[in-house]
Amino acid sequence: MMRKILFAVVAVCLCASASAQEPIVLKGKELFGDMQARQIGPAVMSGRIIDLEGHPTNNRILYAGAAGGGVWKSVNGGATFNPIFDDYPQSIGSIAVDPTNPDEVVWVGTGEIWTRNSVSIGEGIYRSIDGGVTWQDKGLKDSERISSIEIHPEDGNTLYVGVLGALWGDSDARGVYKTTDGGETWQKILYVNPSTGCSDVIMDPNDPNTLYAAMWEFRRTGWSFSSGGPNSALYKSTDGGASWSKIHNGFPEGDLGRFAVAVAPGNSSVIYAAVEAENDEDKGLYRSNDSGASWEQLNKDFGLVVRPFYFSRLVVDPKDENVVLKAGLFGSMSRDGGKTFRDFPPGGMHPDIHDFLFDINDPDRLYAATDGGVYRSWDKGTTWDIVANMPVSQFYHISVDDAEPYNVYGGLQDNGSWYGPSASPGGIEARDWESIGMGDGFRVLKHPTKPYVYSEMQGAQSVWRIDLERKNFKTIQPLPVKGDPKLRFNWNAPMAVSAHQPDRFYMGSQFLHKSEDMGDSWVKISPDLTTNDPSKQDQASSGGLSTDNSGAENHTTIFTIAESPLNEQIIWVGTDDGNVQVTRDGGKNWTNTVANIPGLPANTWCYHIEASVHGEGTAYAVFDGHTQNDMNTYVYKTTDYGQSWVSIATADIAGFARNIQEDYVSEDLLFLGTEFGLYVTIDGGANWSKFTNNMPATAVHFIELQKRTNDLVMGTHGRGVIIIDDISPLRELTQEVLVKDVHFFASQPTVMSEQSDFFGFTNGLQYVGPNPTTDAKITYYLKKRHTFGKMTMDIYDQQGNHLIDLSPGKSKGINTVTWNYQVRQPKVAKGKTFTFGGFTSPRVPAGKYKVVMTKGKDTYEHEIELRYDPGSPLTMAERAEKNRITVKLYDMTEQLAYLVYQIDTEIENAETIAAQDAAGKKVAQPYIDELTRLKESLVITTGDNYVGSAEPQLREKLADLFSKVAASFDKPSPAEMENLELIEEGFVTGKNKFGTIKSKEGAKLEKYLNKNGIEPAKIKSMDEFIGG
Amino acid sequence: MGTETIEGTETYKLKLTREPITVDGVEKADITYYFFDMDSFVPIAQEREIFQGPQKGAIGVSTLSDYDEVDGLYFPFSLTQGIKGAGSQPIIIDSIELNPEVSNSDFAFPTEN
Repeated sequence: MMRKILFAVVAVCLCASASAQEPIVLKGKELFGDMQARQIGPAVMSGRIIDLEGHPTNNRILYAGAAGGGVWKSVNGGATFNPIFDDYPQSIGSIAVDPTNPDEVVWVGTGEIWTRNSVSIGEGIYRSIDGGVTWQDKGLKDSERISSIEIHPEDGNTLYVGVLGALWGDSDARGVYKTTDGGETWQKILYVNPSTGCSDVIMDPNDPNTLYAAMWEFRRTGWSFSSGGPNSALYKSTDGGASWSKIHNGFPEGDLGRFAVAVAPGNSSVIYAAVEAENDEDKGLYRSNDSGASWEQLNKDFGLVVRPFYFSRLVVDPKDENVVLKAGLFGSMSRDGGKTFRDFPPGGMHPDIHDFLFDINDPDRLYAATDGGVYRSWDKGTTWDIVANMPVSQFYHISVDDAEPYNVYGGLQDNGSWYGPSASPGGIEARDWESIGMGDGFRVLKHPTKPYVYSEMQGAQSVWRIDLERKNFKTIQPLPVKGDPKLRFNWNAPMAVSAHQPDRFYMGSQFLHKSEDMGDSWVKISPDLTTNDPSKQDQASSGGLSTDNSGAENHTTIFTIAESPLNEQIIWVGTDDGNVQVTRDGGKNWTNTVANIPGLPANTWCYHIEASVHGEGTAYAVFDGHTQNDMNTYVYKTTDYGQSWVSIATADIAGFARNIQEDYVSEDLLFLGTEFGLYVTIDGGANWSKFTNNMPATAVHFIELQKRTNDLVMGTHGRGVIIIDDISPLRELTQEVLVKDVHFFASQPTVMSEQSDFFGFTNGLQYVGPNPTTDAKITYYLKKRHTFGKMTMDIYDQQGNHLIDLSPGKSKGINTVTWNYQVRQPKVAKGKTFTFGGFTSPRVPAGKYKVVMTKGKDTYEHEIELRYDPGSPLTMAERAEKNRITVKLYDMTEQLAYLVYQIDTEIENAETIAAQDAAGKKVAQPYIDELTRLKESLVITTGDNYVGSAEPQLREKLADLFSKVAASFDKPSPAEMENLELIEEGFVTGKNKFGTIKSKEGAKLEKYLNKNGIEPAKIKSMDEFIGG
Repeated sequence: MGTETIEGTETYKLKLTREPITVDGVEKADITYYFFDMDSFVPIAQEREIFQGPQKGAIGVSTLSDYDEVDGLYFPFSLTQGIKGAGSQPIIIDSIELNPEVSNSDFAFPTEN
């Protein structure tokens, strides 16, 4: 029976392309093509975690929601976590697993709920029905912060959601919401007023119609925080949220603040509530034994009353109603039903604990969410161990140096200041990062020429000058002098170095301070450049019911300083209360240019000024209005020292912006960091595209462009340092290039890496940041995706020899093909087993190489250059010798392969003759025997590829030497040369022996064949053999 | 299912649901998404969730290109397969022969020499 193979039929319609007049605008993925972001961590200090959630029956599955780093899932009991929410707002409020379908259905409410000054914003609620692989938008878009999600234990479509709401303004989106159709529609079932949000909704674990809702009156401004008011209250419903009543019997009178509430899972008549009240003696932990009908105050330790806005979480042991955990500075535990608490041992884990999770089977196993990552304990909190693969670090600022590889410096929320390399053998590991500051870290700057680094902690409390060589530091912050008012430094106090004077160092309070000796002496070079509005300077009474004057709300301060890279007399200063000041005479005279900025609301925080390299009068200013409840994007450019400004923000951009980085070559190429990611324009701001290739939607707080490598380096507030290697192709995307069918981008010569890669070591649980590729990059633009006709890419040397074919990318936009500057492996003689040395691909020598791309009928050519590592000790003569020996061994390997092929073919042929008759056997057998003996000395003919190894023969010895020489970064050693001599001798002997056998036993066989009119065996030529 | 940009190209996204399949004893919906180039209407990519192995849960992506005519029909001569967001490996087809006669013996297991 015959079969027919039927192919699917594809209908094709070739449509004429549209008119060619319109300028080509590339956006989004088309623009960036193969450019990929590289997330280098660090995870060594990790970052703030908001919420932990477990699975009701499988204790290996855990979820963690980060303050700015999205949602992470563990499937191995917390050994490692992986990010699962990268395309959505990365600020997380609450995570819930559907008890009716816990493997598949997960809900995420966005927007952090521990409302410190630096929190980001959310954008509603999302649901996954595939365990976190994909997500669906389920509304509540104006919620800003979702504090809680409670799911009905029998009906996964019925949920109660607490919306805390806007932090910096009024909002009527606050309250408790209910859905009965899986989030298609929402009904607001409890609402108090525009300033009072829901900080917690809790469902009685044993009765889904009984709910508790904590309502909290709160407000933050750029200069103050207020917790509490007459509208804060704890409510209860027993009818699924249809009606609510306050349950305050036993609570203090007067204004109340934020509650932490927990119902004991094992006995739901026991409820704990931490209460923030007007009088200190009324604050603390209350307990009800009658489901909230009455309350009794039990404890007012520091751990129970500390910073309610940051630590309002109570967690009760699922197996023991009297074991209660309280989030806090250190976190604390009661084993006696709340009468006494003991802090977890300081030093055991990162302070500032926001949530706990008990293991469902073993309550001694605990997880904690801290300002420095997720911790796990196996002994109920006596010892703790960090989850080491979560790079959710929150940078406020980063900078780079010009080392090779360059380093990245930066300061983090509650995690000090650090620096680490942009590449490291084996990957960028935790041990590659060096700590260079304590507390909350902010700006970190390397001295432009000397081995010093400047770093700081909150509000310039300490500004350190660190001597990297002597490993010590001194503090150098500007000190008040006679006649000074109180110096006001921002929490994130600005500092700057000069491109003109390496020892110059600037800091900003309300004044601009300048030092010409690395911070040892200071002069003020400005008057108060802020609005100096006294109504924004009363931080001592900030906090509401719990005074909270950490310095985080310091206001009417300078926030950004930019000395022109073209002229040191030109200095720009932006203030947090909305001034943009410029001096053109080194600080003698200042002009406030903010009145010239169109469309900017008064007092909008000037977050960053970038003084341009493209003109002395050119600068960019980025404003962030979110602390005035204004989430718009404000980006402006001036070319006339601020006399006029134009907006370069468009509707393409989502999220308020904090930072802009210009390209040093193309004035039209700009990079903008917003709360939801990175935006890029190649046309001076007319169009913006979001960069999403391996780039999570995290807040980008600071951007630098490393000048030598053209790497874009981002400090994100939730996903550590993210690098886009070499953005230079974006410079070339002019209209002239965009209309071309194919355009190869100019590339710098590639230095062939001579680093072996086995230096890294981790236990597999630590995060390792990937290195940039060391391969040669061939980058080109395609006007259209290649869909029809053949497309190939080949590399030739200068003599026109074909070296290797590569797989070309076919996407519209930018494509990048990499070549590891190796040619194909040699063809190795056939034996019984592999010879591992034969898997080595030799490198080509330095020089220029031709790239030929064929695309349908068209051919395009491009040239790339490879260079040797200039740091290598090898001379050019030694290089040439190494190449010569490598080629010799390569060729000899292939010649041996050909020799063995000839022997095999002769044997095969002789065996056919031997099998025919006795006469044939008589003449063929000696030939077979001689050839077989020879072959056994050339290749392994027994054994296997594992432990049944046979004695190595010539092939194995040759391949080993070839691999040793080709893979080494040194010249061939005398030992290798001596070994070569031995092997070469063996090879020549073998080859001669083959000749001898052929002319003796072989000739006899040939004669026999001739006599009997039999065709001799067809032997391929060397070229045919290698080509086949 | 709407439109989506694949390799910089606007496409129509189609969802194909096949008979459910059983993976590790659990019945799963077998869904493949196809992406058809809006200009030429040929499929240039498909996506399907991976159900087994270390990549379980990830989305497998294949792309199709180098379409050429064979006896009046267009076929992709280059295919890539990989994981969404990660790298992929190409498979290049040298030639396509339509409706060739294939003998049953081609499907027999070779015997050991």
